[in-house]
Amino acid sequence: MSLTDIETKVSKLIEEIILAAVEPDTLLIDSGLIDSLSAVDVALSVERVFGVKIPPSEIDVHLESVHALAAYVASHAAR
Amino acid sequence: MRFDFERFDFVETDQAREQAAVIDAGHTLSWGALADAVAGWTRAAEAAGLAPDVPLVITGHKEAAFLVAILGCLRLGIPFVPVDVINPPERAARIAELVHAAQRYDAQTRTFVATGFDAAALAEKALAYVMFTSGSTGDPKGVQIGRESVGPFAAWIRDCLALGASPVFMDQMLFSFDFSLFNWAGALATGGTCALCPRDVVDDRARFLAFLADARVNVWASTPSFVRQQLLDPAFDRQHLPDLRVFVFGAESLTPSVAEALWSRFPDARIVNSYGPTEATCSTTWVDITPALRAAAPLPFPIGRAKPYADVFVDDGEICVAGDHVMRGYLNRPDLNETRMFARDGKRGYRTGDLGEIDGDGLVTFRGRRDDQIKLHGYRIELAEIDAALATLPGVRAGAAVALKRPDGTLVRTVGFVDPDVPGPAGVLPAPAALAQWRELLGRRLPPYMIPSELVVYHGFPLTQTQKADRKQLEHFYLASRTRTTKQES
Repeated sequence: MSLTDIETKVSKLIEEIILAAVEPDTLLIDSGLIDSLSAVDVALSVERVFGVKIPPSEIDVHLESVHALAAYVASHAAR
Repeated sequence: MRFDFERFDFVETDQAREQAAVIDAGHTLSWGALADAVAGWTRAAEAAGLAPDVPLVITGHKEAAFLVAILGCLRLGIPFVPVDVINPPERAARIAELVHAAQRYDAQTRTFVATGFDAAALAEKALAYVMFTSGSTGDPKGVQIGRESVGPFAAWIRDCLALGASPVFMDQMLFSFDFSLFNWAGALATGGTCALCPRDVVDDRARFLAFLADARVNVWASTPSFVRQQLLDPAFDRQHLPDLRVFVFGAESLTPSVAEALWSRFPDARIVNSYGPTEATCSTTWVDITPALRAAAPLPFPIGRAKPYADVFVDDGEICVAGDHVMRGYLNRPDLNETRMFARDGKRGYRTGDLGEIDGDGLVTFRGRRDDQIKLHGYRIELAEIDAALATLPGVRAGAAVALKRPDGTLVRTVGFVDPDVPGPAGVLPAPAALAQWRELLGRRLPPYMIPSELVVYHGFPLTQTQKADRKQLEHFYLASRTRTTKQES
């Protein structure tokens, strides 16, 4: 899967959780669109869809934006 | 020892005074030390001029000193008004004004502070506490609970729940949230231990788990949202927390998926679901999620049957509760008391505004609200209180908060709409510079959980037939314009 494909999937998954479409560089946590509970849902959804676990202590970092999350998924997805 | 919530005093038991009564982030107070601290506090309170029926605001977070002050108030007949420091100081001050409290006890500095308002005894006598919840007028709404209401609640935990000898309760809920009563009243009524977890401990997962393990926590009461957050941590399981055996949920719907996720971590855990408005002393119904209920897996699980001292029925689709645990009434709100309260068999009754169903065995299932009150992650919010705060923003003539719901019914977040005081056609406008600091401005009036996740400037709100902002239309507009999926469908 290319990084663009992952980005598209990640942004769809996030849209379903926060009920708003976002740009790849939209700040998700800083903007208030994702709170601690939605973050849990995103982490669980990423694990389900991509098989990639996000350590709880690193959620704030990797959920910064769609772009950041897609990059994390791309580098950790099973090859 | 234990604390008797009928007489509001400590009672000697076979257990040693050296056993832990309260644990907070810094210290452990034994039962003997707790009794001494409460005695010392009551002397200081009397020296400070506090008297029965004149309320005292208590501010702080999850310090042992907060609980000492609560018990001291109960001893002396002083109605306590708990306000967590998560609330902006303006809100705490407004609460002191509404309740006519001349003094506030700061549990963080352990001092009595003048509020600047004149003291006045409350019209209702012999109250245990006044808790403020979100109010639809824009002002927080005071729920007055009488001293007669606390004893039956504590007795239910001690006599009906069967939690074993000296159970250890985890308590991370704010003292201003009445669900916390379950933990501290439960621990003290059973001669157990209350483990107070402040937010900085909870937010540091490793520290939180170590705290729970060291305190040997047996009973976990929280919202389902809070436990769901813990499930991200693989170490939240029986192996790391071998003493944790009972989970008690309340304040929002419990779904089979959360319960199953929890059982996958704690296979033998007992799960109890409970329900009740703040207006009826923390909880009114309860149910063990038995193997049969688990197998049936209704979405959501029922909220249970009436406790021994409570009467619960459904009238015209609305859940109604009656009994000694029902509040005396809202503070200074005769209009609401007139419409929400009633008498039944000589007991006080309260119409909850919650919709529900009841089966032939008295098992109640919650089916939503009949008004604009929402529960977001367990926090009770009147959308109208957010509306009122939005309307105070500069250059704004009206505000309307909308709660976004996923297809499965879960509330995700709130969006704030403001109608700017400008001429021109209706529609969305770019946010003016005056609104750049909208979060900070709202934060002066509202606790963080009531601040919308986003602000939309929308000139000329759609209105309902009664000339109120039409939340449904605003929600529809938001989803249609902000989500791709909805766009494709329409």
